[in-house]
Formats: sequence, C-alpha cells, structure tokens
Amino acid sequence: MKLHTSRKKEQLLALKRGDKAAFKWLFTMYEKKLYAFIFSIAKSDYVAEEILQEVFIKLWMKRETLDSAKSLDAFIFKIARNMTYNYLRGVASQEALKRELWKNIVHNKEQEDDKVLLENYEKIVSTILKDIPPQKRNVFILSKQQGKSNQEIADLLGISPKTVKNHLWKTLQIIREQAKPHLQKIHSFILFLL
Amino acid sequence: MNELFEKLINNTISKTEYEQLMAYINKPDTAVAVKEMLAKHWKNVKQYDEKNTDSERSFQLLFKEIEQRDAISKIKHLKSFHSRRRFQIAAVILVIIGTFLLNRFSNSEIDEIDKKGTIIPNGITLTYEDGRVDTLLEEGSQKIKSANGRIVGAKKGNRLEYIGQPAQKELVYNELKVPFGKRFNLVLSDGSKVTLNAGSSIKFPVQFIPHKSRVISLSGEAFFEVVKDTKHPFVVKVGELNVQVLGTQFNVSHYPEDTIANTVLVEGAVGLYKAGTDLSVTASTKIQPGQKAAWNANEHNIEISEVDVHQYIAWKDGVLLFKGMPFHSIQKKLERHFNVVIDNQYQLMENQIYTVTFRNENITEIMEAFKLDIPFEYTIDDNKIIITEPKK
Repeated sequence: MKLHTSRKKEQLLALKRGDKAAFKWLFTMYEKKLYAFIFSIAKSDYVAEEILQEVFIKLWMKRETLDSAKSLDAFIFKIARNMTYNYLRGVASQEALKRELWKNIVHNKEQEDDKVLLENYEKIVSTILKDIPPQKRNVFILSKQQGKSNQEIADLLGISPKTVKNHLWKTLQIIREQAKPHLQKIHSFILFLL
Repeated sequence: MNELFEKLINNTISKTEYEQLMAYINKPDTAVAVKEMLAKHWKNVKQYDEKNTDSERSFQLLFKEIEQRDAISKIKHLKSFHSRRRFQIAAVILVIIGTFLLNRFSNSEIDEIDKKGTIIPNGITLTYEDGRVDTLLEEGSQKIKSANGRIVGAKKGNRLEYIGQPAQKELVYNELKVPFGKRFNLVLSDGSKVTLNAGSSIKFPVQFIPHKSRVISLSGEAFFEVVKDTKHPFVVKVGELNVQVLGTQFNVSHYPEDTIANTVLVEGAVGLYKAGTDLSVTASTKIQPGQKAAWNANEHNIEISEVDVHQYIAWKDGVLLFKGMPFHSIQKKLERHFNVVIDNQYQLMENQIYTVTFRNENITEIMEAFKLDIPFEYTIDDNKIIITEPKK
C-alpha cells in the first residue's frame, strides 16, 4: 500500500466527485487486504464478504466527506475497524453467534492443521524421491502430482503401460517403507493418499 | 487480552480463553481497547490471495447494492417531500415507483440474484414479512433481505441459511414453501437445521428473540436437527399439536390430508402437547429415541410405539423406503416425491402391502417394479398416471 501515493491522491479526489472508475480502482486495491483482515476475525467467508461490502458502501456514501489532506488508508481502515468491532461486539453479546464463531474457529484450525500435515508429507516424499532412479521418479511425478494416466505416461516416456504400473508400484513401496517412521503422527487420510 | 486476541486471530485460542475474550469484548467500557487491538492487527495483516472471488463480479454486485439503496433512499425522500400537502397522491406515486423499481431490478439482474417478484410455477417460494414472494432456485446463490433491506440470510444451492443477528425486539416471520417433487434445506438463525420434504411449508422467525421460545409452524413433513439451548425451548406447531424440544433430532410429518401427525425421535427428548396449553409434566407426552408419537387430530389422543427410525427419515437422503406399507399410502408419497397424480382404478392394488426401497429410480422404473409383483396396466400422460386392471 505504500506504492502509488500520488495515484491514490488522484483517485481520492476523483472519488470525492463521485467517479465510479476511481471507486472501482480503490475496491480492487483494498479488497484483498480488507477481506484478509475481516476474515481473520470473522472466520467465515460469508460474514467476511458481507462486512467487506458494507465497508465499501459506507466509503461510497461518505465519499463527499473525505479529507483529501488525510490518508485514504486511515479512512478505509477506520470504517473497517468500526464495522469489525461492531460485529465482534454483536457476537460477544449473543449465544448463538458466539457458538457459530467458535465452530468456525475450530473448523479453520482443523483446516490449517491439515494443510501443515500435507506440506510435511510433501516434503518427506520429495526427500525420498531424490534417491529414486530418474525413470521411476518421473513416472511417479507424472502420475501422482500431475494426475496423468498410465497410458499417457507410457506414451510420454516411450515405455509400456505395464512398466509404468510396475514403476509406480515399486516407488510407492519405497515411499511407504521410508516415510512410515516420519508419518506416525500424521492423519490416516494422508497414508491413504500413498 | 492482547494475547488472547492474537490467539483468536491464529485460531489457537482455547474454549475457556475464547469465552474470556468474548466476555471482555461484551463489556461496555472496553470498546477503545478492543479497537486498539484491531488497529494493531490491521498493521500486521498480510494480504493473501485465498479470497476466491472474481473482483470484477464482486464490484458489480457491490455497485448494484449501492444503486438499490440509493433508490430506496430516494423513494423515502420523495415520500417526505410530498407528505406535507399531498399525502394521498404521494402514496400512489410511491406504489408505482416501487413496482417499477422492483421490475427493473428483476430484469436487469445478472444470474439469479435477488429475482424479486418473479414466480416460477411449481418453484420453491419464500414469502417475506412484507408479503413479497421470491422463487428460490435450486442452483446458484441468492441473498435474503428483510423489508428494510438488511441482509438476513443467503441461499446457496438447495439450502437457505439465516444468519444470527444482533438482538431484535420484534418477531418477524418468513415462510418457505416446497412444492411436490422437490426437497429443500433450511438453517434457522440459531443454527438449527430443517430438511423439508416435498409439498411442505414452514413458517419461522427470521431471527429468534432472547428469552422467548423458538416457535415455528409446519405443514407437511420435515426433519429437524435442533441446536441445544435450554433457555429457549424449540416448539414445532403442527395443526393443533405442539412438539417441544430442547436440542435433538426428530422427524415430524403432518400433511393437510392426514388426520394423524407423526413425530419420530432420533436423538434427545421431545414432549408433545396440545396447542393452547402449556407444556407441563402432566399434560404432555414424552417420547424416547426410537419411538413414534402419533397424534390423532380427530380423537385428540397420542399413541406411542417403537419404530424403525430409518424408515421415517430415509426421505431426507432422497431414499423412498416403504416397509409393510399398503399401496394407497405409498401412492401419496410417490405423488409428492415426483409431483405426479396417480389415479388407481385397480381395486386389488389399494391395500396390497409392499416392502421396497428406491434410490435413484424414476417413476417409470418404479411403476415397472410394482408391476413385477402384481401385474397391472398403466399409462403416464404428462403428470398423470392411471393404473388399470391387466387385460385378460
């Protein structure tokens, strides 16, 4: 956001005049950061989208009161902060909303955990793959990471589909064997992927 | 508190800490401190690309919303301008403009968002508190707004979900109608889930009010998964019967032509009592999981029996399951499920008992299956099926 300081000034002045293009520019500029900010608190895509929309509506409604001497960042943040605060306050005061947010926290946590596990798994597998003969390694990458069929791989590498199948099977054996000690804590679903 | 707030952001907060933080935020004098935390967080927040929408479309939706609100505020403005001297005329103009705007919006909408005032025959409809009627499509998403333009829920696919809102003072009702041949899912503002079977309608508050029971009315059949809240009992009104629960899973079935309202309990506990009376230990009947309570509206009594629960709730997964059921009862269910009319002119079939399960079969395949048991002739013309005696 440090970039385009003068551009921002320009857009701010245009926005004050009710210029839709300037509004759009600002929307594209701030949308992602605002979404990230709101989502990190609201934990729900739906709620985040709603608040995000309200922030921009407010910005549009209040465009005439914009102070061109002040930073646009600060102005937008203030709206977003107040709306997010109101949301939090609303949640804190109502059992049903409080339960909903808690549910979403747990859900997001699980997703993050799974992501970490998956990354770990990929790391382990790529370490193992380094020591596997190039032909076998290629077959594995084409099949598991690029989702190609055995026939496609056979055509690509000029070998028979049966060889592809054999290579795959052997590589999987090696990975299973070597990854086992590392994967003890990892979810069963990853083992299933192997 | 700063630490707890950070944990909230990182999803590492424990349940106890979460409760602590919420209690803190709920205090009236912590606003400045909480806003301070938000300010700190704003500086740290990383712009990430996980937001999966296309920016162009989001912006269009945003601007449409703005235009709509502008239009509403203009009408309000017009109203106050005229109201001093020419009140009656202003009212007429208002209605015309209102209708015009409604039509304009429905025509200019991209996709199916907010199709106001368009009613598709045999569609799933939602009637708002102010009498507006929306047709809900089984695909895509729609936003649900209250009369004052506030978004109270959203529809995604065949599921309508109301969101919890800051406390309201007044109960406002919406009504969802599911025609024959369709099913629909509803999530109430307290998070309770309702699956509605074909030919059913449900009237429910957009937002439940604290310190009051959660009361909804049902005609037809629905499966409920009620969020537990001991302070706010959940009551389903079916005809003259009230089914009261605290948090549980159960199925209620009472179509207009039925004299009997069936309640089948899957989990938890429910009590049944006659409308107009209060639920007290003496006047109510309680049932246990695995039991069915059959309320007879004519005789005003309740009969309880042990049942195979699965048989009563299979419909919610799209399965037609008939166990030892006479054809005349099966006929009713087929009519609702497929939105057809069955005219059975073959007396013998009427009380024939069947045990059969259908999953994805269409109505022709089902008729063929019945034919294997007792031969008969049938014709399908449009939505009408006529069953006749086999030719000798």
